[in-house]
Amino acid sequence: MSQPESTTVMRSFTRAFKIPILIGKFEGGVSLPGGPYALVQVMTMIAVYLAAIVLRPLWGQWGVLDFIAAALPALAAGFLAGKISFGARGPVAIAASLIGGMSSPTFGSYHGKALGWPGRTLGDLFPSRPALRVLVIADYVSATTGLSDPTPAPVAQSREQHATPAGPIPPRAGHLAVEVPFVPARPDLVAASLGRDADATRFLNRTTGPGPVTAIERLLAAAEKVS
Amino acid sequence: MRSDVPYTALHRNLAWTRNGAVWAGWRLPGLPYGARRSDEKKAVADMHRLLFRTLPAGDCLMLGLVTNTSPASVVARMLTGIPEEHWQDHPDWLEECDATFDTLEQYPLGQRSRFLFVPLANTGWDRVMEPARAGMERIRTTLGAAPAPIPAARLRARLAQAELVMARIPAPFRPRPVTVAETVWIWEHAASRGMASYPVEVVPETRPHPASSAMISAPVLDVGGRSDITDKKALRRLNPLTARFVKVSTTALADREEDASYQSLVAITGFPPHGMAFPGSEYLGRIDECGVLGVDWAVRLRKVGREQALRKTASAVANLNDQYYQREGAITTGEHALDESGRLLSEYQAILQNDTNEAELNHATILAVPGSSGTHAQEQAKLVQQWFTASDCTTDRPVGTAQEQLWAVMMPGVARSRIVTAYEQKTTTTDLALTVPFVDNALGDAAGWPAGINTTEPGLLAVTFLDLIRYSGRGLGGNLACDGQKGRGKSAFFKTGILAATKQGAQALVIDRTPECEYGRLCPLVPGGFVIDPVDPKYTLDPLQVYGVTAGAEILSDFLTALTGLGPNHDLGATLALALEPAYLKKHRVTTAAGLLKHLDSDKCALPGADQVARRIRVHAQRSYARVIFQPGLPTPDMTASLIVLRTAGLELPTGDELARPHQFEQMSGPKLFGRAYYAALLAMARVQAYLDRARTTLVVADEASYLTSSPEAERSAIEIVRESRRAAAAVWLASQLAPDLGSPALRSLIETRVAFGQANTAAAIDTVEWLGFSAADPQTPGMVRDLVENTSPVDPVTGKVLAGREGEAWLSHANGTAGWVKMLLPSHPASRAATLSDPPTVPVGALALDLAETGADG
Repeated sequence: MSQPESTTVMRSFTRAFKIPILIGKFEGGVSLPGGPYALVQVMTMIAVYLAAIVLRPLWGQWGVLDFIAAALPALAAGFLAGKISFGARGPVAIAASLIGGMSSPTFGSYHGKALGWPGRTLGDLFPSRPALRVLVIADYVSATTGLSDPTPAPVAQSREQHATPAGPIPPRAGHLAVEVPFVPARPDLVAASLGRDADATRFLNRTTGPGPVTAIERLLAAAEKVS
Repeated sequence: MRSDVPYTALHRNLAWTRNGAVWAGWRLPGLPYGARRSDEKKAVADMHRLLFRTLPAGDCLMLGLVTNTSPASVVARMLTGIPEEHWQDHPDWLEECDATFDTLEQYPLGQRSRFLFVPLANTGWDRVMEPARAGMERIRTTLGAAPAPIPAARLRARLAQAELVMARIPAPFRPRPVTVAETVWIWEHAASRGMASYPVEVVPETRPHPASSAMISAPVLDVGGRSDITDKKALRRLNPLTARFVKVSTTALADREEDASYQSLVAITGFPPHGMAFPGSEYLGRIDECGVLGVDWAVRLRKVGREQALRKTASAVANLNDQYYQREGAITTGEHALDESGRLLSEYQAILQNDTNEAELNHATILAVPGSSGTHAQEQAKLVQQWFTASDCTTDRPVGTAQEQLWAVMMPGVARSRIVTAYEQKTTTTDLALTVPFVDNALGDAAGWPAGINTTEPGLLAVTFLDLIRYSGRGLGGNLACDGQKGRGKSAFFKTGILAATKQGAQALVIDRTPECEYGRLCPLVPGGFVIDPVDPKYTLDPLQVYGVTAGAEILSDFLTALTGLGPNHDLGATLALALEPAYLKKHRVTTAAGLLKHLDSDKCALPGADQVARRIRVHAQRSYARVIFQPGLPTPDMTASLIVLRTAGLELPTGDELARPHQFEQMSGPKLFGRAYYAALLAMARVQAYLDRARTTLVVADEASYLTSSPEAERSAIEIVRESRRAAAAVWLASQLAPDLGSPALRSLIETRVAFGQANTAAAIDTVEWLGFSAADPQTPGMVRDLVENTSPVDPVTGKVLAGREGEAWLSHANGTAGWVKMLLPSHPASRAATLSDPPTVPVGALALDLAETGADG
């Protein structure tokens, strides 16, 4: 096939690679009856058949014929499975998402940790994780306090720093940083203590008093302090 | 698996994450795109191809986030051209700014911010050490220890590494490293989609950062909005299939006294098998056309080198063959899907084999659709999905925790997860470039007067500014030409522009041919503004009196030459030229046009044939229409006034036919000769006026320009003003119903800023489109012609008026290269707005008012 000149059509080649896998033959080359089957169908049939065999004491009464009878629900299930479209993700991922969604924590999750009633989640059995910290490394920091240095950097120094390709980082400054704790340590407990009707989120938010609040405001306030 | 803020440290545009990856980020302002010629669009796509090809192999993230534009920032841009200490010199403009503030407040103005994030490669020892350090960091965090500092050397190495990536991004994209504040902002924005979100102020990178502390408001992610349900039983009954959204709340939201943001996440799962035609395939560049406001997009890219991609095609071929084998037994007319896969596979292999620079791009596109509640967000998401379905794309809005996972993978620094792989689409750099993710539909200038609302991208409203009076300092001319059918808003647009310019200190000379003296209505609004009417002159326009002998003689010469038809090569023309020498005039103390006539007639004049010249002039001088030049005793006008309206309503003008044929010219009537000469004089005056005060911009405005361009002398002067517009700080604004009437090809091509209002018929629209620079071969041309006739301020066939709410729509093609559709705005100040509406409100000519202008009038 010739390559089209100067593409003015946006093509997607996904279909060339994501081919639905169908199984139509046994290993030896013998065709599967009623095939080809999708992988999901095959797995469903096997699962249902095995389940039926395991549960044979509950229903089996024809001896060896039971093994043939068990194939009937298996085939039916396989047929039904072939009717369901699973989209791009496949049945396992969808099932996991659904189960995850139905068992989601009541108040959502925070820092990757469930917010809910104490004692209801596994996390509550263990001491709470300390607040997360993000290091914000500034270009100029005071050696003693770790906070913003109110005195501007000497001109000569800053010139020299601008000259270096790495930009204005004083050699020592990298060792210093402001560490910032993330909000409360055990939001789940606090939220829960407010009762189910309480807006957990709203409570979590009540962390700071007057003064700069949002991250941007903090940043700007810090900038003002210096300039 | 729950998502969390992944950072352990932030520095400039770098982010250290808990899995050992260091991400670098840039903000890309976007290449100018909008609505432009197909070949220009192709060039933009080619630039994207270059970008994708230069990206390092591996993971990267592209983000397009919608932010709001505050009315305050619009007003600030109205004032940027004027130094703050001079604001008080323009009280009218300040009033206009104030009024604009009120009218814009009710408009959801927005723009899109685009980011590119790339995880920096861990090379050598770092491949082991970075994940190890990240692991240590996690242990430290668990133990409650302070985070480990990052040594300066490593900091520098990473910065240098990021710099290298940036250096490879093609320069036209103008990448700027993100700041820590922006990284923090992206998280806040993601947690507050659907609410007012303003872009973070940029701390200039040239200034050293102060040490600063920042807190990322870690979001509380609630799949399906379970925290909204207070009843335990209802919670158990909650159907996960109908709750495909995530409720996000953070501390930042509580600061703003807002509860939570509801977002429904959509992923693109497939593209039309026959491909998408370009232009038109730009689903990322045109996402705001989907009809839902505030849709953020993120594209997770995974670039695979050509060699590796080719190896993968081999296994795909094996797989394909196996499938043919497996399906042999099926009863079917043929394995069409497999055939199609085979065709694509072979095409793909051919592309990779033939182009050594080509690479494979795996892209997962995720859209976050906000809503005021979970249900609303889902409804909106369905609309977005429908928009994609209409273009034969398939989308998926997954259930359950997949919503949360999709939300998370839109964030920079978050590692790619299985869900990304599931939604990945495979294509080449050339093809993905046709989605043009980094484009901007900005139109017009960065500051100036808010001329209109940019409607190129329906949905995301942006104010289009025009700054045609401070242009000369920036190397662009402020010249403007516009065409369009009568009643579609040309003159209202001009009047708005004139008011904006004069209120900012410029001067406007307006040649007004309307019988109602439309532009004269602006005079009371501009201090010192006045009208000069040759039919009923209250001021003289005798150049010798107005500009003095030296400058005036030149204008008078242009005028009399055109009037008498006596060129300098003619015997009598030579006499006229000699008599108009400033030295000669001074010597004989001639200070008025009437005085010159008297002098030529008198014995004092020794020039040969002077009496004959005088006779020819006298034919006109005695007529009533020539009083404005020849009547002695009229007061001289103040030519420094901000607005001077020069009426030409009663004047007759020759037709093009009469000018073209010499024998018809000979037989031309007196009023026509005068009319033509008067236009020549007006333009000559405009030229002199432009040079009088070069610190002040002079606008020469002519509506119904065909009258001007039909006078060769006037047109020549206009061309000169256009050519010299930078030096003289002058600009010519021309308007006409038809594009060809905007002057000779020279004049038309010199004026670069062009506005096209609606046209009545296809022929006129074809002329317009050609004038706007679209060739007949451009695939977009037929659509543009149709749009100009049918879809630009469409007229109601019953009433003959422009449909309500559709007034003032136009195409703007700016000198700076941006182009697109706009809906023109009227001035916000009530008095100014009333003056720009040329007719009583029942007549549609000036009924340009956007509904926002209407509401402004009420308030």
